[in-house]
Amino acid sequence: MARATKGTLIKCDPSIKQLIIKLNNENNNNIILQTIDNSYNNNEQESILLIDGVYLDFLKMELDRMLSKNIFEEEDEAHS
Amino acid sequence: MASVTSNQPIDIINAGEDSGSSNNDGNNEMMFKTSILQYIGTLPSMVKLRLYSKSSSSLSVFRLLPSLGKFLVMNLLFQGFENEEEDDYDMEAEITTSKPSTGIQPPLLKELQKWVIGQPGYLEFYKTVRILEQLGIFVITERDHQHTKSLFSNTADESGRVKLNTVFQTALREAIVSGNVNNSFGLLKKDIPLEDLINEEELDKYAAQKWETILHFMVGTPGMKSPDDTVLKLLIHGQLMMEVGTESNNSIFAQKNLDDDEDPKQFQRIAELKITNHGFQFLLQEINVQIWSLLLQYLKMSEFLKLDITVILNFLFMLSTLEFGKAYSTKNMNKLELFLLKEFSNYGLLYKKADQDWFYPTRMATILTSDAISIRTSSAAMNSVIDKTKGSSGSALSENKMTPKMLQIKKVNEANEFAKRQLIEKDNSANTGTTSNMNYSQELVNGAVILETNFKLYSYANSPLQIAILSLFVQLKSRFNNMVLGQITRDSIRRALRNGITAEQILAYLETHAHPQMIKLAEEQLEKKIGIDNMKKRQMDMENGKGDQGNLFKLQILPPTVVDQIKLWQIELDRVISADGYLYSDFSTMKEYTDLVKYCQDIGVLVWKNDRKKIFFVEKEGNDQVIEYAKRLLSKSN
Repeated sequence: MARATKGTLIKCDPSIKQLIIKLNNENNNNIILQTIDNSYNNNEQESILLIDGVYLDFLKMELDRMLSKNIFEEEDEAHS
Repeated sequence: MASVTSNQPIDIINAGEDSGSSNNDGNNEMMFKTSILQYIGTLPSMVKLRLYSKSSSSLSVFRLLPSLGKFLVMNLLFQGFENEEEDDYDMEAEITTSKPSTGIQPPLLKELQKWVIGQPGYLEFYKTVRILEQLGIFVITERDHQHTKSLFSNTADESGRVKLNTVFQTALREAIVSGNVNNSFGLLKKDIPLEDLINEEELDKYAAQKWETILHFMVGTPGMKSPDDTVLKLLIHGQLMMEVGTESNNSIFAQKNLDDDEDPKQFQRIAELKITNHGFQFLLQEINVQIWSLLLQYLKMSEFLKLDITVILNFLFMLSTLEFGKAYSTKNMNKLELFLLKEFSNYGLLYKKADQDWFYPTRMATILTSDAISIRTSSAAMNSVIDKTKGSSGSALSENKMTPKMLQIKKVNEANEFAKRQLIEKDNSANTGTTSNMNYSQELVNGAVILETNFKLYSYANSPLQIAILSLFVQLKSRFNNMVLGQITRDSIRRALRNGITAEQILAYLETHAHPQMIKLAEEQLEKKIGIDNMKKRQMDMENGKGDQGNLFKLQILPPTVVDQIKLWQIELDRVISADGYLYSDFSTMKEYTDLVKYCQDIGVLVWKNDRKKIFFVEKEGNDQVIEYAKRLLSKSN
């Protein structure tokens, strides 16, 4: 018998998936409801995750923060 | 009076709604023109007839037609009567000047087709005929019914005889040859007290100020007062701006809170409004297009409010045929028209004081149906109004002075003149590959932008509006007398992206405002590339015998590094794609799975599926339907 699970589907690339898993571990495994192995589906490269919709904004914010760490802006050259 | 109901399907392609792949001015102009004509085309035929019964409306619609359409209408206008005027209106280069056979019967469509030559002409001809038929201007009789009209067939329906809509014909004829037009072109007001007279300069200033207030409000210039409430409503209704929750602190309007809090209610509103990407696209259009797209929104909203569209359209078209700088009486106007008078003065289309029974149309109104693409961009136009020093020289506005004339024949002639000039201009620009920056010898395009590979941006802009637009996506650093210096940073772009502005829009804006020197540089580089490519090709041809002739190179005005980076920043922002809904899993049989998936696909709620694992995901909105269907399937199988 089929089953329907409420949630938010996330499509992302594998690196982001790892970050989400990391975040999930840090938050008592509340975020991810189901990880779906998508590796053999039509050769698509994207990873699929089912998460709790409540955490979506938090997730996006955290991801943004984590990714921003690796960005280096050019220094302001105001003093000349 | 029959009013248009709101549930009738109206499909308006808003000017510049899809983020422009080709964003030159002429293109935008064309896009907008089709959209207002399309709007009229979708109106019920009764409404159309009532619209055309006014000479001013007929003339305005005529002026909005593509040039081939104008020609065809002129050709048929005096059919069955004298044919004297025709040669004057022959403006299509591809069209010969032989006279059509004047018979008692209306001419065959096929006969008219002889005016055009070749495949492009043929396509253009039937496109035009279709527009005219949609507008209800052409009445095509004796159609060959065997010919099934198919959207996908390559050949158009060539059968039938063409006649002008009699209402339209009479009205347009009256507009052109006779003075008896029933005040369709407004009632001149003569006896105005001297102290109340207003000269053209003041009118320009007034219109510019009104319009600029709206634009400034949209970009969120701090310290500007907000436009009238009805304007705000329209901006929201047209999705040019949207109301956002107060919690968004990154909104450009947040800073407004500090500036003016004298009127708490007003301030509340301002804090809640934010520009959308439609709104941004809107800002990039030239003023004529902007006015029309706002007016189209206004019409849509009026339909929603169950106002009589015909009166509004007639009023607008009447306004557009008035002469600039003259005062017109409001004596014969009905209640709705008086209301419209007040409404449109909010947009700067006309000038009227509350206690006076006359009004002045401003230049913004008189260019509505004008063919002249003289005012380049919103900001440039505003600038030339503000900058009185440039006003008299060969700047954009002065060219436009000649358009609104009460002499109707002259007007049509002029329209044709402009059309001709436009064609020539287009040809020129097509030859060289640039849009319209050919004549940069006269004066610098206002607000010209130089973008360097190190993401530094210099703009020769001095109007606060232009600077405000730039500040939407550029981190401005310093401002000089005639230019501003800024830097495109990750943060500045992300801020813009978060506000709903797309990378394509930003790039399109930068491209259209690129400094002539940048275009020149890009052209030189392109030529070099093509030169090298040709050399390579010749070698290839020698070896292979043939090679494809397609030109693979595009003119790259903006530095590719910056372009790519801006696009990357956009992609970076949506690293995750999310959808709310339900995941269906644990299907026992493949058939169960495929049945349900097919149903989901059919009703368009399927987000994702994996056949191998027999799981799929549906949108939240469609879930009830899917469950319903699943239950039915189950009961059937049991």
